[in-house]
Amino acid sequence: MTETVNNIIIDEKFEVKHLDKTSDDIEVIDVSKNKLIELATYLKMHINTQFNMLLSVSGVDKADCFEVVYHLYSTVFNKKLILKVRLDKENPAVESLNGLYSAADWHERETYDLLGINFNNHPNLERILLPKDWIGHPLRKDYVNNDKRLSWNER
Amino acid sequence: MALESTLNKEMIINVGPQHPSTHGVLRLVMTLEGEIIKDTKPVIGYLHRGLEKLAESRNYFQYLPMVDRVDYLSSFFCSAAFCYAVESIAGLKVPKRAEYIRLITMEFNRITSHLMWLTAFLLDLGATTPMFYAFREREDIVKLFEELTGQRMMYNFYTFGGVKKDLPEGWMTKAVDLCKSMPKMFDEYEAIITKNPIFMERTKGVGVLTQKMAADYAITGANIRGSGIDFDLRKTNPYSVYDEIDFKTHLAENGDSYDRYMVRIAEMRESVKIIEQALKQIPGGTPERLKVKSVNCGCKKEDCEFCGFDVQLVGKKLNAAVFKPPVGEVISMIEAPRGVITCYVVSDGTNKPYRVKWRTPSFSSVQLLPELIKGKNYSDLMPIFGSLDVVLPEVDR
Amino acid sequence: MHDIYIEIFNKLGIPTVLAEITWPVIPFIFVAILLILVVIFLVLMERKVLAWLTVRKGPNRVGPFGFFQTIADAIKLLCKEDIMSKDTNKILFTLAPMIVFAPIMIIYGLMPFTEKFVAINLAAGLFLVFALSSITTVGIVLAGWASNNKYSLLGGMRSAAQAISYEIPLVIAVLSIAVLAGTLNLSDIVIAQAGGFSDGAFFSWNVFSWNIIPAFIGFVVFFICSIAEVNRIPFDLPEAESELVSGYNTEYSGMKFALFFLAEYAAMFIMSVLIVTLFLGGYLSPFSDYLSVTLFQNIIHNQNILYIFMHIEQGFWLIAKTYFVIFIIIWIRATLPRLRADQLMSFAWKFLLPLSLVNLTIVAVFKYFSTLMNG
Repeated sequence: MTETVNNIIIDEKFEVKHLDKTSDDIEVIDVSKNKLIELATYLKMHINTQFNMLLSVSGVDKADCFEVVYHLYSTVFNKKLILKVRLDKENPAVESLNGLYSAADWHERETYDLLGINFNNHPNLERILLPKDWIGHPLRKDYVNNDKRLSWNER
Repeated sequence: MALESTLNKEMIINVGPQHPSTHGVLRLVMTLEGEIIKDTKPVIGYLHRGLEKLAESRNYFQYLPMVDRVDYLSSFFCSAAFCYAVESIAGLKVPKRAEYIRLITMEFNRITSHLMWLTAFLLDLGATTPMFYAFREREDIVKLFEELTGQRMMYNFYTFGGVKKDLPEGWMTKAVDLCKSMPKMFDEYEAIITKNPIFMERTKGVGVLTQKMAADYAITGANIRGSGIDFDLRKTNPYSVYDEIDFKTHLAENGDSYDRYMVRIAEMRESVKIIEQALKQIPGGTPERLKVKSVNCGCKKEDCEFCGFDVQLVGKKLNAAVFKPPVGEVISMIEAPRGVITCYVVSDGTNKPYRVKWRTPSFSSVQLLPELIKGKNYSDLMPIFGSLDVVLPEVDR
Repeated sequence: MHDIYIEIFNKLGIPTVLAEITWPVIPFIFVAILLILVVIFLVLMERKVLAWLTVRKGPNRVGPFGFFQTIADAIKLLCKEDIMSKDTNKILFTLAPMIVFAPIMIIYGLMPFTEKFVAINLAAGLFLVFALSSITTVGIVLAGWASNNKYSLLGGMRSAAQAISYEIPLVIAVLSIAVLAGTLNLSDIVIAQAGGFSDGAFFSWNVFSWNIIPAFIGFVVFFICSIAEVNRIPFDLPEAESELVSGYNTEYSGMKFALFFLAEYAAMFIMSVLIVTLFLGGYLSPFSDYLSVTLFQNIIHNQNILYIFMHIEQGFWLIAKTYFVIFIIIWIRATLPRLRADQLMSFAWKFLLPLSLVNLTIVAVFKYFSTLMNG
């Protein structure tokens, strides 16, 4: 793949907001949440991209929004790519990539568990790392642990 | 009453959290019909230590010792992943000698990790002897680590921009000797395992991982190479100084448990070759020689062979309290023994990381497990789960 | 044994009736002591040999060379709390270890350790041995079921399945021995193996008339099956610790567990004795005559002392051969991984069963021609 992903998707209508690069030269594509599935399908299926591996899904609690970051990898071209979706602070929700990549299942559950981002159409969206009755989502910046059950029993 | 439920056709069996062959505290809720596995639901999180949350309240240097705990069997790799990420954000250059030391320790760590996998795998299958054989060699390597870092498990040896210490005197000779004796030891394991008819019966054609499935579940490392996909970051996206080293990646075709075993054994042999090359190529040579030469030279030039940048240990001395990488985000990928460890670091310009996300290979492997063992015999759980090489602290982080 | 015992009573002047009444107890006291001694030594031996095979030292703290390690372990097990979980079937749970242990203890009484040293000499001894050893499986299934633990249940079921598949080739392999010896009495089976191949200095050695020579295939089949019978690696499926935690004895602790443990090692020893008795000439010396008799007959002319010497040597040969067999079993344990349940079954039905039938045919033909030649 000699051309960049930018050139491949520039003429398609994916409503890509802006293109950027991380400090170590990986392309970052900002995509609106409505077009995420379309773009991911395109990137997976297109003969010149073939991003067949979803390495991880992570969420970042930014000051004004939630970012869901998808790390894609192509074992054919050995190329990395980052997809970013920005979500509102209230009621963050995005379509699940579970149908496209099976790996998305647990990674999305983890993101839901730790950041409280909802993934629509996810088959089994429940807590994975924390206990089922945990209160709150710890990786949010405004998270305060005030669960009485967790206080040390100092006698 | 449980006795009544056994009268039904299906039985729900709870493998773990405490079970001899779940390699830690994994819980598998299994539905069995006779001994045939109908359904499996892995439950994880028993070892969750909140490493990502802990990063928020510590500065970069304070977080560094914690990084080793992501995967206790391959600490050097986790630490390397974090260091490369931070170096990449902060734009720190790493001297060649430090990179070589990193490479040597990482490859030794790969061998210890694979040996540990071998013992656990064979122990799951009921063979006790390979465990003691493998631990004998693992002990030799761990002793080298102890001499180098002072620790046997959590090394805390890498730092941003290099390594903390030079190799001790005499260490390289010991390492060379060990590399010479190691292939013979691998022959010994292979003699007892590889052609063992019962071992072949148990593992051949068991737990076949197709290429499509492997990519779909983002399986990495030796597991995907066992299925025949040539995906080795050391080759394809060389980090450290792997581009200066001549080595092969080993592939297998069928993707069954036996192939994963063969790939790992071949990888250990390859690691020994890599270490041998690195010990020859390391800039400055042995620490004894380097010390004498640098004192005699004393020219302090950038490109000097004995006191230049290349033979330093740390590129730039950093002050732990005020070290603030610029705003940015980076994802570093390391080919760890179990697969690709990625460390996603977001920096907001303060001295604490804004967000650290660990992507660990075992997490994907455990996710794959229900798919692989569906419809298999209960006894097949061990060769399949064992061959995936899962370490639970790494899954739960 | 019986005669000697009554003779002692007669000489001491105690009424013979008393001897007749106390007699049935004696073999069992003898058997129990023998069994405990054997197991204590066997556990130590297994640990030491296994340690030697796996580059370790083995027990070396309690007593010289760790000699009292097993005794220390036994005391530990005796002192442990006997835990029984709430929903177990208490009667069956308690009964199961005994059902496993008792038959093996009886088999000890049936074995000819030397020419006279056999507690119960039965005409159908061989038959009884296999009848009794199958009862052990019932105990294991009971233990698995009564524990009310799913792992135990799976272990018990596996044990039953395994016993069904392995007892058939085992018994067919033994049939060939019955054909060769023409008897089911264990002592007579041993005596039938004496005499050698033909007359002459070298050919008259007993080693040439051992059953292993005509029935070598049977020996292999029997050896494999007896490993399966005593649930040892590679056939230790009922207690496969990496799969079923500890299989049928997961819920057991203290003395009940000790009984299972004792039974396992006792069974291993007695199976080895059985292999030696049936195929390797039992207590017979491999040479034409007993060494001690040949050595001392010119010095000592008292026939009784020579007779005692002969008995000691017979015991020595039996123990030596038995420990050789046990060593091989331990060696196998150190080398092989565990089989899967269905592989084990298909191995027994598709491989061992035809092999044992082939062996039976070969032995029958051999027997026919050897009878013809001997007249």
